[in-house]
Amino acid sequence: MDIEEIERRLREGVPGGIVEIHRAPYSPHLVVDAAKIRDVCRFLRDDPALRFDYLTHLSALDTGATLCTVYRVLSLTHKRTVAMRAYVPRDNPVIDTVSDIWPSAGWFERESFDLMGIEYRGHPDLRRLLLPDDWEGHPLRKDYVDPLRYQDIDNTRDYEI
Amino acid sequence: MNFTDMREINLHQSLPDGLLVTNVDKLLAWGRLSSLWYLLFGLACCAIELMQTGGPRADLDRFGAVPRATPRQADLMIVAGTVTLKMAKRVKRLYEQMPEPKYVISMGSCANSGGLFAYAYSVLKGIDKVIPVDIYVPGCPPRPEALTEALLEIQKKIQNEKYLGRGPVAAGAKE
Amino acid sequence: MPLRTEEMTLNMGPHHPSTHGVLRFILASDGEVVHSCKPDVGYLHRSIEKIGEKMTYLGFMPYTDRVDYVCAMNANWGYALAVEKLAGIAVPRRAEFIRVIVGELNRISSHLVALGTMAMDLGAITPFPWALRERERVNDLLEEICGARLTYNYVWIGGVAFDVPAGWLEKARSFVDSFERMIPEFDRLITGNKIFHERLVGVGVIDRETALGYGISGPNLRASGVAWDIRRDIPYGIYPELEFDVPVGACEAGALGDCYCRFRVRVREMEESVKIVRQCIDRFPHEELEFRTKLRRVKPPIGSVYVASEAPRGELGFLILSNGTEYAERMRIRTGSFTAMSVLEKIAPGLMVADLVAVIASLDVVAPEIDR
Repeated sequence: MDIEEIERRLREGVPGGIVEIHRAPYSPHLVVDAAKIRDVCRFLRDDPALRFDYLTHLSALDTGATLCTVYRVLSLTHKRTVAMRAYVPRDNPVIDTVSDIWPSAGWFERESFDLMGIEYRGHPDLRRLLLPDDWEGHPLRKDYVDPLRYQDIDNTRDYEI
Repeated sequence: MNFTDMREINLHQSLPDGLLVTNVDKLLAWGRLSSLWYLLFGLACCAIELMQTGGPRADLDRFGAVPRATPRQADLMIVAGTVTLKMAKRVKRLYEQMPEPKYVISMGSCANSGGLFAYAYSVLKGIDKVIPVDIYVPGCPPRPEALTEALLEIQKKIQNEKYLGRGPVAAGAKE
Repeated sequence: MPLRTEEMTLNMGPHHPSTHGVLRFILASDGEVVHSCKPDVGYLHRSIEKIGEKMTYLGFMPYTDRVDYVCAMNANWGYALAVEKLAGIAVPRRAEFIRVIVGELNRISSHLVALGTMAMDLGAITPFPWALRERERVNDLLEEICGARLTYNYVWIGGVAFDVPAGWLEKARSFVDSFERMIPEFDRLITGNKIFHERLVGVGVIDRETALGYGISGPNLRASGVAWDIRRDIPYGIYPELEFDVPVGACEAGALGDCYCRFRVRVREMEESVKIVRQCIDRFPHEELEFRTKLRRVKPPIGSVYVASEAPRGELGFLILSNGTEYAERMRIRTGSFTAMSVLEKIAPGLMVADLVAVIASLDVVAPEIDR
């Protein structure tokens, strides 16, 4: 079952969920409407013909005017994988959580919030994961400027690179 | 018999009469340099090389250096690996917990100056921004032989230190 | 009068004798029994993903060494696979064989560190220097081929950096022959040991549902009974031509998915790696002399790719987004230890503090993979 058939099944199961299929130049992925991400994910996991029970990764991208969450899910029974993207506007980056559908998303979403600043509505414990709790800013964004100090420690280099 | 380098003493051959004339500083220094207990402070990749240096081939134990897990029982801190800003406060606290006299070896490029993570936003560019360092060991990671040489340099430094005659020491100051 | 007990908050780390790196756990425990365990990570967050946007593709290779320094060859290889797929670079056949040999040798040395530190965390000091002794021999082999002992930067985009020196293949063969005889010695030392059994059997069971839900991969997933190995199921390189078994948890003692299962899966994986290295040396293409596609710069077309490879700690995947220049737009690294660490929140309640140490050791996490 390739990506077209997965998309067809999803169109039947979750009307309005899929916006389009994207192919080259990007590896094939489904663009999902951010408002319907939970329905799409639950359908992907529970539908017996799809059975995507393993979330390989959940990552965040900075795509200019929008921020994007990339999902890649794997079906161990059918041995296939599919990728999805959901875009949110940069000035209001809020999307529903999928951490109750795939528990591994719990930490992936925390990391995405920490480094890119996307908020996951409904996440049980959304706080910074990798950076200290009092860090300001979201470093993976393209407009991030490295801080010169952190608390009372100097963060500059004494040498040229 | 006078010895300039206390490490050359071989008790059986050098002291046939069982008499040694030296000053107490040198005797104490001999004791201290032969039993430098280091704090097991491996943070990143250099920790694996530190582990291998304490391992069977390049053995640190033959110099009297054994690893201790708690800073209260250690007098040498080998900062092995990248120090992030989140970890920097803890490094300083561990250093302050060590009793005097204490020494620090900064092992590897990351501890010396940030290393190849100089571009990072979250890495401390050199451990000497928070604690005083005695010996810097270059390398990424340094070979066990390089770390062993650093230990021998610390031993040389201890041997030439005046410990008893140094006068009152302010709290937290380093000679 | 009933005894009043209170919950105690105990802080484990970030500096502690267990040698898995800087990890911190905030335990809420009632005496010895843990009620909840919250891992606090990020003490080794070195912004490798952001550096991926500042470095060229060729120049980023040393950073992949530091993503998982215990098995740096596999990390290099995973990154090279992703960039080669993105830019359409072919790899010569000789290089493919060399990659498998050094990758499997590094798998052996990575599992040796995992098992040695696990035994040391449980209190058995002897297996650790034994494991280090064997690891030194692998280090010697890899130092001869590329000059470095730990962070190799040897598997390059388009092949490998240097050719095998004369006589290296014979030395590798004699190493695996003698290592194969060493594994039963290791077994006799700890595997049948009663204390080892008491500490590991039935402790920290991760069942199939939890393992899949929490995204566990690699030997941890196979020990829970799921037969998934990227080398066999989404193969790369010359793995389709090689014959090897994939050890799945066999529940020799205790429950499927406990610490003992994870230990046994790693030992059997070392035996399989020995087989793979021997096959590669037997079938080595001596007549092919190309070992690297010479590249001055790598400028992939606009696009994205996700390629996963089987590192000793699980699935190591690189999601690379390219904007047509020499610098990546986004370099995302997915590691096996990240998800293995997240499962601790689920399985910790009910364990004793000493069991928690055994579970963390058996999951074989390294801090740089979690924090990057």
